[in-house]
Amino acid sequence: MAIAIPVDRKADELRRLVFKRYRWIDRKWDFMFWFTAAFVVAAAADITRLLFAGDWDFWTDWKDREWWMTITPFATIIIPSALQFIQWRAWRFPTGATYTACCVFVAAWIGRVVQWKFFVNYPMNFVWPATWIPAGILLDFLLLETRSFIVVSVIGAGLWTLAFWVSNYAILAPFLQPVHFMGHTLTVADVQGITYIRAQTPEYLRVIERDSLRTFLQETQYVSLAFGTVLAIFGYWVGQFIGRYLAVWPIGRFLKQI
Amino acid sequence: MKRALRWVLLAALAPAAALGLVLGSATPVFAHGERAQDAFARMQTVGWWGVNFSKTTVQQGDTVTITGTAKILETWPNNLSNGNPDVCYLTVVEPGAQFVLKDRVINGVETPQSFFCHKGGIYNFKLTLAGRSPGTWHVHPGLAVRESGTIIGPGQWIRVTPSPTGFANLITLLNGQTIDLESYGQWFVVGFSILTFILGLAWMIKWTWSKPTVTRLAVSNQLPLNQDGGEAVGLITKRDHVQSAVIAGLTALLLVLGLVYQQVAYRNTLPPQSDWIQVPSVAPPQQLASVQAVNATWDGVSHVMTLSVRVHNTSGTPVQVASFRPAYLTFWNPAVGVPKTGPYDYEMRLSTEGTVAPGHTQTINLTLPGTVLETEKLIPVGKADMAIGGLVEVRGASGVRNFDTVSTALNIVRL
Repeated sequence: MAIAIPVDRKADELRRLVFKRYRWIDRKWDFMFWFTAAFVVAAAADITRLLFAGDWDFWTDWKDREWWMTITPFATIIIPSALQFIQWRAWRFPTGATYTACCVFVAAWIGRVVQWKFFVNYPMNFVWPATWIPAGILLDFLLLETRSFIVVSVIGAGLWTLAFWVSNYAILAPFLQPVHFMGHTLTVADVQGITYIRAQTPEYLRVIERDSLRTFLQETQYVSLAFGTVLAIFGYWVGQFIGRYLAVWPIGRFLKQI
Repeated sequence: MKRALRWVLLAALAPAAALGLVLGSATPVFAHGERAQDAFARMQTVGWWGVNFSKTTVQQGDTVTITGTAKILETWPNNLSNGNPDVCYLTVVEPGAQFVLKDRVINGVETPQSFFCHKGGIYNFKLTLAGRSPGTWHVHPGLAVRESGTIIGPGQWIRVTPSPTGFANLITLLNGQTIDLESYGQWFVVGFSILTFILGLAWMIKWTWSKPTVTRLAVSNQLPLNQDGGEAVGLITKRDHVQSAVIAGLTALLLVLGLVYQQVAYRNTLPPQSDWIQVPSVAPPQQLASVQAVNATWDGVSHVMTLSVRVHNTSGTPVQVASFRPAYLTFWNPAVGVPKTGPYDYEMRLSTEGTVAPGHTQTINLTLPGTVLETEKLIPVGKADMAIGGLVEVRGASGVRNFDTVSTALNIVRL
């Protein structure tokens, strides 16, 4: 037997508001918002990524299993987190992370093709940008189902890190195949980094995994994912701070004043 | 409507006009900023000799070799790499990836990546490049030193002519498969990325297509942050949950398929290799003489730089000062003949013939053309480190060549 949903007067009022057709605010405003915001969001997200994890994202031979996976989830979750708060707070849309990931996807591909392929002539299979979209969808889905930013920050950050790794490792794997080059056994990615000359990015600048006495139980990858998750939790709350106190709160103050 | 259209057109044209202005007014850049590096950084860090390019014209895919010697000078400054250069990378400085590096041999050893280096180290190198993009490109060897930067050597214009078959950068994997690095895996990269984008678009369309956006604020504002009002309010419905779960499920499925595919198709992978090596030392040639810089002066009115060097011949035969090499330039003693002229080779005047008898010590004034040094921005006047330095080449009767590092403070005579 179906249980009737109690609809009180407040809920009814809100429901009417949801479906109210406004005379002066039509879908053009929605389109204008999503379209114009895309440029700002893409720029903010791409700059954050470039600031913290630029080279890891630029070159295949920087995409290692230790640093790439530790730094990049932190660098990439900040703006999606801010947008997730803003869009949930304003419209109850669980879309902030996916929207950011899609915006940055388009911006990054345009940037790579124009700047790196056409201007300086690097092959795209060397300079492709990582995708965050699967991670964004899963993060938004988690918010939709839990409606809790605390849960999303803890579980979602792990999900973000894992989804980021899986979605990009699938693309990267062919470039980690071994090859003999100059009498040494290297990966295809290493060879790309050697043959396609980066005049002002010498090889020693690569921050990649190097053997050390820290064995990490010989499981560098999984330890890095764990570290990456912890950093991503921190990054998520940096994004929440940006969303709550640098975006929404000042606008609220302003609206109250007028 | 027409007015709105006009504004939209204007909004579209403005960025296009700005882009056109930027691109249209841009001029090709051919140099690599070598003159932007401080004079002291170029003169006291790395010396170059015998740099030779095997060709000046190659067809796409054909190779050109750069051979020569780079020496990390004993005068390496304390404020670069803490005075202790330890990791180096011999690179090629060129405008973008117009050539590909096929081989790199340093002191007889193939060196794909960085190598351990030290102050006073001498590195004979051979770089093999293949022409990739048609055009005329300025190419230099360069020695990058960790925590300092890239010190550029003498360059050469090289023309790459097109090949009817285009360019391929073939390598053979350990499993025997030959791949072209120009395009290997490219369509999988693009295809998989686009698949994720399609899912992202599906998510965004699902949420924004059938629902208004900005007007929902009036409702959201009245709800606690962790509530959406459920079916009663209608901001988020059960249908939304189901549709979102389908897209999230497809996303998870794509990730699983991607993971399974790479595990099956690419079982044998390696992490990126940090293959730094120790290259063998070069046996130094017989020491013919000791050379010390006494002083240096700069006359800003007559545009002349003078460097006094004291040469003590320690060999049994006469020696002769053949050249002075600050940074990537060479100033030749006319008495030994100038092997070539060009943007890096010039004559200097000597106060003597430059010959020193066995066992004797002589102070020789080298007069350098100031205009060349000014053009190359190698006059460190006005800098914090007003010193000059480089290599003095001394030749013995048997053809042995010594390259001695000299450095001294620069005194200004007139400005």
